[in-house]
Amino acid sequence: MTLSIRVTHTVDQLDRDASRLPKRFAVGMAKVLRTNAREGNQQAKSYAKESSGKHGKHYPNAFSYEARGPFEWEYGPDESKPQGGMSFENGSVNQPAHNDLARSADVIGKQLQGDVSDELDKLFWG
Amino acid sequence: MTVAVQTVSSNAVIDAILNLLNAELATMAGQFTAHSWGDPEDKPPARNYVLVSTYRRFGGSDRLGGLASTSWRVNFRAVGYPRECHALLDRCTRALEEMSIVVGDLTSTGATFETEDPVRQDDDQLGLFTGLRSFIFVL
Repeated sequence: MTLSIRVTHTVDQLDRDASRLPKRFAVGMAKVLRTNAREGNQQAKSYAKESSGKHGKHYPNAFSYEARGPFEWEYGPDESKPQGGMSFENGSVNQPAHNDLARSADVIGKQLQGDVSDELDKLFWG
Repeated sequence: MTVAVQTVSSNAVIDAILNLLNAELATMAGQFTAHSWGDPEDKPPARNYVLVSTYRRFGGSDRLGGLASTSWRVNFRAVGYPRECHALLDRCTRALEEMSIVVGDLTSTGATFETEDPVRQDDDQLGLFTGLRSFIFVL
């Protein structure tokens, strides 16, 4: 028995698919950025728990993440929360920089790069 | 194929950076020096100095697929009167930016500016100002 499959594409179908890309991209990227902001915040908070010590015991709880726009998120210590304004990240004259946010960015930056690339792939192959 | 990755100690990296910075600071008029943060044998003067600390970056090196601990971050904090503080940051930046750091027989990529904590008055030491700059490189 011979089975044959015939697939036909038309320019109209290509046009229809292409016209859907911007919306699909916007939805997918919004999710990618939200996920990475949440994970970045979790990582930074974990580093802060290790580095803040007894005198900064409230500092890790000051970490949060929030949207600044459809494709822009930020995370880190919130100054309005207890100890959120302490100068742990960059340090001071009396203590070296803790680099909690910088360390999380080292990991999340690479992850975000991969996730954005995957999202673009999904538009055409997903 | 086996790839041998040669790693270096934090002490060796910070010594190399201190040599670079102190060579630059020695050309300034006056006594300005860079010191390793937290080293009891390398105590800084009362003012007009730079404190240096280094960290391995957990993300690793892009060249090796993010697996090797060969990426570094260096922070240097200037402490002093406002004018001197700005000058120290600028001279240390001049010494590091785009420069390769040599540790043993390894040579780093050019150091790239990452971030800055602008010069401001120090909370604890009245009259003194402080600011920080951060650079990254792969060794």
